[in-house]
Amino acid sequence: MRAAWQLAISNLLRRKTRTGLLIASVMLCAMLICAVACAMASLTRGLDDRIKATVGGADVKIKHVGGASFDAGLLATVEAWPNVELAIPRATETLALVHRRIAGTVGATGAAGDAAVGPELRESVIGIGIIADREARTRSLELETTTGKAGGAPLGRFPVAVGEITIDVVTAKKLAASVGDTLIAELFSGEVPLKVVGVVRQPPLGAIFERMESFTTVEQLSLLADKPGRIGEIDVILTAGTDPLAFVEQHKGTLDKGLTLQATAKITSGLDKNLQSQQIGFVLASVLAFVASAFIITTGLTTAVGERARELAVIRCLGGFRWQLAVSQLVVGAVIGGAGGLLGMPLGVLASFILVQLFPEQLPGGFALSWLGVVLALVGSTISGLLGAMFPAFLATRVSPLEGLTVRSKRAKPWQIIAVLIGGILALSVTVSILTLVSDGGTVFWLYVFLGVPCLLTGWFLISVPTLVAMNAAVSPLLGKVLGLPSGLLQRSIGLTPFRHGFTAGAMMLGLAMMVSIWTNGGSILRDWLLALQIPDGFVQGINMRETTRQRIAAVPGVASTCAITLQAVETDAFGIRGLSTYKTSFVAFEPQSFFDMTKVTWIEPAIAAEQQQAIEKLKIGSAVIIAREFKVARGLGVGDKLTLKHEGKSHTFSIVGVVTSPGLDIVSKFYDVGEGYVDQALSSVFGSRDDLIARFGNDAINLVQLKLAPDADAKKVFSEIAKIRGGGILSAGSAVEIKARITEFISGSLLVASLVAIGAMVIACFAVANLIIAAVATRQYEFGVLRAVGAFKGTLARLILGEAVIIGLVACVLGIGMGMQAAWGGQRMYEVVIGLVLAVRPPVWPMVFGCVAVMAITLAAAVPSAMSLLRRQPRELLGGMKG
Amino acid sequence: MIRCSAVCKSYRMGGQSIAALQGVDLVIDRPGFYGIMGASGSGKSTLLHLLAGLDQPDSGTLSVSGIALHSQTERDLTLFRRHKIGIIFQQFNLIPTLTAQENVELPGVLANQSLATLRVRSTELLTSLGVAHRLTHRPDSMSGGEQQRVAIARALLFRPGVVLADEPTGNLDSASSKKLWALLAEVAATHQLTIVMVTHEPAAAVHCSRVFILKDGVVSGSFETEGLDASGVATRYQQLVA
Repeated sequence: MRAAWQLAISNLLRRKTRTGLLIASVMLCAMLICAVACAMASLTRGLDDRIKATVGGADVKIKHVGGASFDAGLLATVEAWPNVELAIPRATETLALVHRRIAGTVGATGAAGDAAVGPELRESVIGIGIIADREARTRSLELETTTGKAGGAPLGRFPVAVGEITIDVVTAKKLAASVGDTLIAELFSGEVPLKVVGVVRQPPLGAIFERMESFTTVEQLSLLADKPGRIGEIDVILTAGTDPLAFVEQHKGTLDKGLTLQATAKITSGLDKNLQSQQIGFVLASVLAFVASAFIITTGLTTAVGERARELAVIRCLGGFRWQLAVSQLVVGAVIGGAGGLLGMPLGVLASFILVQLFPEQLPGGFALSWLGVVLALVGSTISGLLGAMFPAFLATRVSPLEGLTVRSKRAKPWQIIAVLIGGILALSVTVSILTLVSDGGTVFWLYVFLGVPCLLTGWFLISVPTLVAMNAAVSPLLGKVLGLPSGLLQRSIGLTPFRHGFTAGAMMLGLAMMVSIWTNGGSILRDWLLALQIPDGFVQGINMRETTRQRIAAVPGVASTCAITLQAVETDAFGIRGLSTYKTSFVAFEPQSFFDMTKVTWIEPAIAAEQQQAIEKLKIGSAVIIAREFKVARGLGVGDKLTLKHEGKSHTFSIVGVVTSPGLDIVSKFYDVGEGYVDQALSSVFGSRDDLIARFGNDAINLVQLKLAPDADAKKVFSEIAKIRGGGILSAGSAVEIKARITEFISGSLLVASLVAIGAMVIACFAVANLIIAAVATRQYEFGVLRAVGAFKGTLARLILGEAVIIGLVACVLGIGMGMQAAWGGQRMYEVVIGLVLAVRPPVWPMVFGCVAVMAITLAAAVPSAMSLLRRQPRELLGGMKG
Repeated sequence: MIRCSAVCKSYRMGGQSIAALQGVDLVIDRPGFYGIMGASGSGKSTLLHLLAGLDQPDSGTLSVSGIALHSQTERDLTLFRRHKIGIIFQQFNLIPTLTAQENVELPGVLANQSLATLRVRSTELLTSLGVAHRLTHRPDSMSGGEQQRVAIARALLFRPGVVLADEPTGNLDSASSKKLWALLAEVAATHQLTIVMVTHEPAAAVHCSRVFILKDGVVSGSFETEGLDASGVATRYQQLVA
């Protein structure tokens, strides 16, 4: 063992540059993984804080299934239940607040006669009605301080009487209001002045969710909402030792239909499940990253074994066992991997720490260290080093003392090229087979992740060799002429070591493959799904909107018709992967005839118009739903099948009477979401009547009002008028054009960020490629010396190295595009089986071009140092490489 | 020490079978400095490789220091190379990443011997061979002659009974070569070793006590070199190969 260790360490220390380059590539990989893990942990802490701030310290919660209000008399009933220590009522409505800053007007800040201080400011906020002293027992609402920092005197107080309001810091900023100012709440029926008595901090992540909140008393809010004697939820703190779940079981049956009683732990369990899924996804992605890193190490160390064949043969001659040579290689791999992990891990932690300091609003929970990320970075790096060293270790054991001494380089045999081609095709066939022959979605997913993707990586890596042989035959003669090299020199030079050159190209292909697949799938999602949604003309979204609200909207000039819609997240087993993550579905409830009259949908089933009308009639009758196409794609459901929907312990089986393309109401609601959507992710939709939803799940709240505009209506003007409607639960309004523009902006931004990751992968590979090119030059040092000795100019050698780099880069481009497109196809299949999306795979031309340019530039950059080094060295020095 | 009887060995090269050795009979039963001469392609290096346990004969028997090499397993041959013989190559074949001292100690490290013991032995050998000043130097900072002395020291680490040298002066100038031949002769005498050197130079063979001639894969004869100079050796050689 000592011998193996000594040989390994002396080898690593003597070849510092190349050792450093390999360690650098592993280090960057470990740094990326650790940084992402810590960033995710920091975000999770912020989410946890938000959940605690919004869910609070209560043990159980009573609320309406659709967020509607209910009789405040329930409070007394709940307080009378055994084991209840405290019941805390709360109401939630939208408020339209105005700050008039012109002197002499009602609510003006300045006194009569004062000069004008500014224009009128208006904002819609979430109004929350509380009983302040009870609220403090369950939620940590912090008042802002006079200094803006912790430890300062609180800025005001919470409201205790009618006519008072406490606003949050963002509202204060947007309305230019502070303690003592008067704001006006605009209602349908008139205006109500409210005096600002305090300013409160936003709950964590409030900035991300763009929620402005303001607090009044429960009584005040119910008056503002014109719902006297109504509240929205009751938090309950139980006496010590009371089991919340048993309490829920005991009392939930006594509540009116539509009201739910839920242990708060269950509310947060949805978030926990999503976070667990994210962690599993993160671990899988990290494993793949380290597998790619192992490939890079394999290529580097295999080249080194080839270079050191004579050295290894000498050790065999001197009595070294095969296993000692193998262990020496494994030690090299472990040291490279371990060193990369030890260096990369703290850098990743530091990068994440800096990120948290730079974006405190998006990451309000502060920096959180992810031990999973730390362990993954350290252990994963070391294992990738060991894995990467296994093939070189095997090669080292194959070194024959005689052959290693007598032959300086062995030409690759044709059967070896054919063997790797066959091996590569077989590996890729495994991936293709999984995606085409396996029908069960869950099985496809897990097989693809654990077998398909590794086979994809391995297959393209192996195919790099025959691809290089082909590229060499096709391009090298012409390239050699262009570079002014002696005829055949470039082609022969590459042809002597196709494995080394091929695997080097393989190391470079990964970043380009990532970019191609990301842009292909991202572009498909945007083009084939999101922008293809037949989103209606416009929407108005709010909390607890009423029929009067809908009527006011319908009265706006240019609005041809309106339809009140309720959105309810329900559980199905249609989407997701068991063991990883399942997704809820949106039940979109409306008055059937008016909805289908005003909404453009494409019927998948039934195809005949008369039968489609019959389907609509069945919705009116009840126990019937129309499903989105994704259900058919993912689960093969169609007309005549049954679908069971569940929510909060209630379930009902519906008959499927139609299949349509989704108008994207679930997507729309996410863009205007006021709910805690990150707790329960809902995908796709089923469509039914509001009567059915009320009957089965008790939800009669109106969340959306869908609009159809008159053909000659000016959309901008219409929405401008709608924005002037204050009160009635309206929070926001938007058009289809605006929604699609926001979708495009979001997706495009995400793709650009993902491209940075791909570029990062190319940079990581650059270190590996530089190492390989340096190793290749060192191995052929004597040959270069002979070339110089017989009259080759030093520029010839440099151009030879650069020519080889061009060929490597071209092969990397071909491989990267091929692997990227195959990965994109795999991604498309995953979308199909997991969430029922059918996407077309279309090559993204400009990202491919950009990616190829980046690959060529980086490969040439990696070769430049070696080329420059050859320019500086004298022939005698190169020939001296024979010494020893 | 060395006994070969009817040793045959052939190789496949470019689809053809080449008979390198066609029944070699050779006996060396006393310590001394011996040479093997022959024309290019006569099988000299092949014979040396077989004697070193780097390959095995197709037929015949072959024993070195009492060990029948023709019937050893690969593991046994490895241990044989480590402990029973020393090998000196034409191209020195020092490990470039190790110092001179570490190169000498390498067989001992492979055998898991104590570092302290190895250090004493390697220092003693390098000093006796006149390269003590290069203990901590790597091969790329030594001359060819110095490298070859380090290689000799490495070969002598375990005090083997037999040392095999394959054209050890092939990469040296004539002055260094002369010194090295004289050194090998001295080492053989001092340490009572059997050193077998493959060479094609009569000037090298002069330093040997006996020279064996290899022609067309067989030992065609041998002669003692006492009283002969280089031209005398060349004449005797020509007579035996004619």
